[in-house]
Amino acid sequence: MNAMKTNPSTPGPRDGIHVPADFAADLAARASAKALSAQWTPARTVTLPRWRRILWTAASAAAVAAGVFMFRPDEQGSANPTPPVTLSADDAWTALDEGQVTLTDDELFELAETHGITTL
Amino acid sequence: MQAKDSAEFTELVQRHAALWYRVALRVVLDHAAAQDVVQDACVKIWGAWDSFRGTSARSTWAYRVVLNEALTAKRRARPTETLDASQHAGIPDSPYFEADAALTALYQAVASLPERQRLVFQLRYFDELPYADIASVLGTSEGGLKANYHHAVAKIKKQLAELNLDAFEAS
Repeated sequence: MNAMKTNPSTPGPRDGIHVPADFAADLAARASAKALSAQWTPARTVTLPRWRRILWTAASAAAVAAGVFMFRPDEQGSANPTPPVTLSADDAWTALDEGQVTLTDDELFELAETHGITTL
Repeated sequence: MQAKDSAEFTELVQRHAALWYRVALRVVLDHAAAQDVVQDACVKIWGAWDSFRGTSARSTWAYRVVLNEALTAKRRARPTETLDASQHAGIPDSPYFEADAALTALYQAVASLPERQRLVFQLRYFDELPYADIASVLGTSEGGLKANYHHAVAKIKKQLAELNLDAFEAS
């Protein structure tokens, strides 16, 4: 017996998830519309000087690769620099999720893509 | 700078929405949440459209975004508010999911795997992705993937055998 073939007369995907064409088309339309409309949403604040962003990104990449995460230095803190805070991946995600870290989507995405990170 | 090609993006979404929904559903195990994952992933795909470096197929890159979004959504969700008993056993809750006893047992066996093995198994067995694409999606070596897949299959076969279910066909 093949555990995957639930109905030999109408072979479907091995995972048993049979997505109707009309549902897929509707989902695609909704997803596309949401994405294309979101392009006008202003990016979250990024005011750090470029060299600081580069340094932070490099440090974060190394930290993530090591299983931890670092807060970016306070954007207002150039006069009184705040030392980096090292977090577990779960705590870092919570901080990102709650908006405690001003990491743009592009930064996060590029970081993950560059280092093949699939989970945080 | 070349302008974003919204037509190309829309065509990509139309072509892969069903697959992306399946990928998301297998991770988040909830019909509505899977749709949210696809939509949120599309926002990120379009937002990062110009940063795509072309080191893999655009569809592979997008697949990775969807999978990452699903994993993120799963981690964000609090179990008590999103999962019922069957979902705790790794069974998707969707009107489009159909399973007999054997497939249900397979899902339960897959759910018991460590995350890396589970992902490799799902991409390889359910979506039949070549190892090269899986390596691109998960950001790891093909050798490591093959080892993960081998271990996953061995564990699943053992669990199904204990339930007196014949082994599935895994290449």
